[in-house]
Amino acid sequence: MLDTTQIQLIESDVESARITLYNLSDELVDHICCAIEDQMRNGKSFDEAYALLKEQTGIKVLQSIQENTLYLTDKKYRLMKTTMKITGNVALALLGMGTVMKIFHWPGAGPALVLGFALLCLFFFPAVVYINHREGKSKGGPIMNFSILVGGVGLMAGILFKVMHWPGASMLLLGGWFFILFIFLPTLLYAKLKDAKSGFEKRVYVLGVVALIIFELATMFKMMHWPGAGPLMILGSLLLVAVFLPLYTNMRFKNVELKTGQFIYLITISMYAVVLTALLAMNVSKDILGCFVRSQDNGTAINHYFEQKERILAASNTVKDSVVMMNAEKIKHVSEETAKVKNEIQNLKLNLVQEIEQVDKQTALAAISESVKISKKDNYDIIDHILFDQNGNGLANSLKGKLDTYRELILKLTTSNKELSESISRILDTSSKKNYNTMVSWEEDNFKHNPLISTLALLTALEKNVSMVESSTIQYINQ
Amino acid sequence: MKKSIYYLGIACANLMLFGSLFKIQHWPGASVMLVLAVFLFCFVFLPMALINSYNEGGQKYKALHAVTFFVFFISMMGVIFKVQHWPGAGMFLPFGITLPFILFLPVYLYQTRNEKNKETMNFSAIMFGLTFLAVFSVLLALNVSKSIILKIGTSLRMSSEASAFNMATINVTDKQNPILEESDKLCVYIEGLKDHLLIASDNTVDGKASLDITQMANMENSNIPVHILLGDDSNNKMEELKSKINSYRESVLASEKISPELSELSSTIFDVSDKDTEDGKMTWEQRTFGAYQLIVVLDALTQIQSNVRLVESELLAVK
Repeated sequence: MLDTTQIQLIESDVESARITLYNLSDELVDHICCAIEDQMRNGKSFDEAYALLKEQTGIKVLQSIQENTLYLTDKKYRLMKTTMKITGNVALALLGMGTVMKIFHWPGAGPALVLGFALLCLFFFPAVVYINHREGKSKGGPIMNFSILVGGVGLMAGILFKVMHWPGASMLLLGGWFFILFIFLPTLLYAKLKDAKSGFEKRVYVLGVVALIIFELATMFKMMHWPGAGPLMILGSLLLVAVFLPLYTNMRFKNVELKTGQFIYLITISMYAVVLTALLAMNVSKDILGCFVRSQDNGTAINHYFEQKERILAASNTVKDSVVMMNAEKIKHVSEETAKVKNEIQNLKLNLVQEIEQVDKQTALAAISESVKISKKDNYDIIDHILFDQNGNGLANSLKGKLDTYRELILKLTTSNKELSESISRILDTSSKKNYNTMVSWEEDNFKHNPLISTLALLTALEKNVSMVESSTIQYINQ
Repeated sequence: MKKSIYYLGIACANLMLFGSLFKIQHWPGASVMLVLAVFLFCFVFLPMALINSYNEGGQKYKALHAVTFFVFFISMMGVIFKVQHWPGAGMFLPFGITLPFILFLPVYLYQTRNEKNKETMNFSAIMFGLTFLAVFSVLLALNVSKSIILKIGTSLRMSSEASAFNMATINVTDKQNPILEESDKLCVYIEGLKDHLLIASDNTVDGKASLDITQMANMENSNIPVHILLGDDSNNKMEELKSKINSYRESVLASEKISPELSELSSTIFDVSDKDTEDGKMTWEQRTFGAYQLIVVLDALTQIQSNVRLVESELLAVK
């Protein structure tokens, strides 16, 4: 019933009341039109009806409607923000605690990590993206929000799958990285370039995003075990920390936009990024420990053979004549001394496994003969503690002493065979070694910071060497 | 913000970067740089910058400033203790990893709860930064230190020494025994494989293959071993190796003088069949060579040689 000019009049009036909220102005115009039409149906003209309405409501009322609407929608927004803060914090705390539990092999690491990643993916990320969308400040708009949501969730889920050894981790990771590297980061660059005030600023942003892409690619290559991760990482971190960081800080510093608080954060996070990535690059996958499981089991089989052989030898030792009797005395002596050293090594292995795995003797013995069953294969803190005390003595040192006495004893018995005694002194050598221009003792070289599984394999190999020495010595005496 | 703080911060981050790069490359001086970076950060940069920020209008956030210092001091110290293998790292680590999330973040969120929109950028930056920190810590928990590679080197060295010992002390009573020749043939074949691997991976001295753990290049490379050992179907070295080990085992077991114990040992250590494990069916090559990193493959091959020499020595010693 109202004509276009009348509606336009209302619209301009609403606009002059500074109603800026999205959709609200249309709703208000619609509402006013309806009210006027109501009045006109009662016989009033448009001008009369509109004047009456203005008297009743007025500009102030329109503005308060806007404020109320804002407050109402703000409440939802605030709820989202609280959700984001709480879930974000709880998720990160769970991840931190899960990591510590995983490193120390405490129970509950798996559930903590799964819950942490689930909160991150299902609540935190969507809430952050929703808030960014509501505030509508980013120039990239929906593409940026969508790509960071999909990419971020994909990446987080991929890492969770990888940590839990669930199938499909690689696909999730690759998908996540694709969205972040090739959609999110370029859109972010585009948005930043639109904001940039000068050509210099533009160049700094381009450099930052390129460095970030290289850095992320390096992480991706490392996790997918693709070649070339090392050079990419060096290039990325050099660009990021040695070039971009000073340029960016300088730029913001000159514009007096950078607060000290933000700078502290910037430096702290770059230091963490560098050191964590470097640690990741320096580390190898735990799968490599399987190599020691093989060595340990191989050595155990050989030692088992020597034990059986000895048992048979001891049982068949019958005295025949005086020469054989004299030899038998010697052989008995060698066997006894060898048994002592081997006992020492076996007890050390048992001691280590019992202390680290916190199990009884029976379980520890079973774990030594089937080493794949050992759960804390990578522990070296407790080994360092058991094998070395503060004065540099400890069990490693006493083992060295036992080996030394044993070697001297055998060498005395085999002096007449030069080749044999030389071989023996070589294989039972416990002398210090030169390493990077410093002398390192045998026990430090072999046992310091050595994880449980490789320590076991090493001790088993030592035991095997002692058995071989015994076997050769007895053979020599019997000749 | 004072210019000195700005220079100091940039210096810390760069020292950390170059220290880490030197450490990865095993160049000397890495430790000095890392320790200097962390000490400068913890004892100079962090207190100076926080005091400056406090005086610049941060009086509202007294607790946040105190907590920031405490948390990142402990956390960075934990990092350097762990990287340098200093005693007490185990004590720092659980706090260093969790404190940013269970102390710093809640205090930050609480103290800035009434800040309006302009802080949103800071907020998302902090959230994303801490997420990065958490995720990387998780990833690190899955790995072991690279120094373990050197321990594989120790294992390799001990296997070669055992081989050498057995070869030097072997007491041959029966020079006609076919095992002598068979053992030599298998060991020479494996030595050839090792040389091939070493030459392909640039571990040569004067054009000849050289196995020196301290100088070894491409230790973690798995492409070269996979290419050489598995190759394509027509040239599968792994099948050849397996059949050679198989026939060696058969001839050992067929020897007249073999004791039951030695025959049991030989069938165990020269067993190249597939086995059922907790992770499902695994072939011999999967069990032996793992992910085919060069050092692992060399260690496994040397172990086979050592086993051959041991069995040979034990078999021929029987009168």
